[in-house]
Parts: sequence; structure tokens; C-alpha cells
Amino acid sequence: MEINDYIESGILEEYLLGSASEEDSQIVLELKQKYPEVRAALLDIELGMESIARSWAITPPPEIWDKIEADIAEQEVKRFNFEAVEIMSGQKRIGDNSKRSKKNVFVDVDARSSHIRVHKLWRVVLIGLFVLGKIFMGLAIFFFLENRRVKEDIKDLKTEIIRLKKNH
Amino acid sequence: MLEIDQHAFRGKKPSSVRSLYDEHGGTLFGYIYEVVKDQLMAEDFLIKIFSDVARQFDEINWEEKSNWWQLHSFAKTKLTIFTDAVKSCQPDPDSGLVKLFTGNNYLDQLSKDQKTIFCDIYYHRKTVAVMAIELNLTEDLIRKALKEAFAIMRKSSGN
Repeated sequence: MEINDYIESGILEEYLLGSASEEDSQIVLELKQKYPEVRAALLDIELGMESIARSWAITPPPEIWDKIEADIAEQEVKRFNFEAVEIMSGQKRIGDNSKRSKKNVFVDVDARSSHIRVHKLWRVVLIGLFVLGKIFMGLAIFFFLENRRVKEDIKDLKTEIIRLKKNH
Repeated sequence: MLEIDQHAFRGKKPSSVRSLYDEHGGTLFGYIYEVVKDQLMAEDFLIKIFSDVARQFDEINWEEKSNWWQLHSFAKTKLTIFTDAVKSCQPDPDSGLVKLFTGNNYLDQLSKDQKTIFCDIYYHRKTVAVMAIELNLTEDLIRKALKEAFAIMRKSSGN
């Protein structure tokens, strides 16, 4: 079939309205890539019919957008709760190979419990912090005593110097 | 055929759901209303459709069709139960909203068959194959009639 016959067959309109079969839609997409005429015809139909659809528009009530925003927020909360329940029920664990991205991994927190579960890495971090704390405390005591001893030595030396000056 | 800057029209992902709503909310509301024939139900569908679009915003291929036609396809899928149940494009006589099918300049230009074919495919998700069986015509003739319907309406609209 010639490309112009194809364009004139009405298949582009059918595709645009979403009524074409999967196979026909695929052919339209392929021909759209291959033939600028098909691309232009499709665009022409889209623009023309969009313009007509606009003339059939009905302005929605002004509060609709607020309701849409509220619905989006509600869906987000539901999704969050659903995923949290999934994790708590053990179906999904942190670090599994699910499709969820790392930024969406939840820490399992039960508001009724006084306990939280955290990543095992924190055990190493806390032990490290504890050991470092002990080392710094030991160093602080050591330098404190050293400082006090040096001060006493300086005091003794000053006393000795004063005594020597008096003898002269 | 119109010479159009395709890049200016196609392949533009909307900046936000709000901008999409501002630009196409009314058109989509008009479309949904004609399918469900009930204002409150149309409002509920409009809310649900934009909420779903927001959730799938990054997954939708905005480059395949213009934003309006993407929304139209999205809405058609959501309205399947109505597109299967409602069989005609006749307006609801009790509705207080604008009647698109009475005294509509564009649709009034079409023949009975053209109007039926256009309405059933545009609003009621029927396929060309189904229309061919219902009207006892070949699929090629249905496509031809659909194309003619498009052309006549566009001519009436002056574009």
C-alpha cells in the first residue's frame, strides 16, 4: 500500500482515538518514524481534533483542584502505609532485591512500641564511638594530670629562682 | 497539510500536574461528562484521573502523543465500565450542563453513520471491528467514515 493510501485509509484517526489494535498501533508508530508524511499527518489530525475537543470543554467547578490535591495526598499516605505494613509483615526487608529504590526504603517504626529497629551498621558505629570516647577520656585525664604536674614544677622553679635571687 | 513545528507541539512533558490540569482540565471534564452523563460522577472521575496521572507522571510516555491525547487515552481506560454500558451519544435530558450533542455545530454536520461511528469510537471505546459488525459494513468503510467525520468537523471548525 502506498503511504498516501495508508494515510487516507483512516487508520491514523483510529490509532489516535486509541481504538487501533496493538499490531496496527505498532505499525503506525514504525511508519511515523520512517515517513515524515505520516508524522505530519498524525500531528495535523491531533492538532485539529484537539482544537475541536477544546470547543467541547466544560469548566470544572473551582474546588475540583483542591479535591485533586487532597486525593493525591491521600493516595500517597495509603501507599506509604501499605509499604510500611508490607515491611512489618516481613514480606519485604531492607536490602532485598525488590524494584523499590533505596531512597524509598523505610525504617520499621511502631509508634506503640518503645523500641525501634535500625540497620546493623549502627552497632559497629556505636561500638566505635564508645571506644573512641574511652580513648579521649583517658587522654583527657592523662593531659590533665600532666598539666597539673608541669604547673607544680613551674611553681617550684619560680620559688627556687626567687630564693636564689634573695641569696644574691 | 499544515506545516507545523512538531517540536513545539510534541514531546513536551508538562511541567506539573497543575499545569496539565490548567490546560486540559476543562476539555477532559467535557469529555468525561459526555461519557458518564452525570456531573457529580464526572467530577469524581476527573479527580481520580488527575490523581492517577500524578502517581504515574514519570512513567507516562508524554512524547508518543500530545498531552491532550495522552490524557484522553488515560481517561478512556478509566471509563471502560461506562464505555461498555452506555450505548448512545444522546444527551441526558435532565442534565443542567451544556448539551454537546444537541445543536452542536460540528457533530450536526455529520451523517447519521458518521456521527455514530465517531461518537462510539471517541467516547465509548468501541473498536473499528465492533463497529463494522454492528453497522454491517467493512472495517475499511468504518475507517473511511471516521476519517470523513474528522475532516468534516475540522472543516467546520476552520482548522
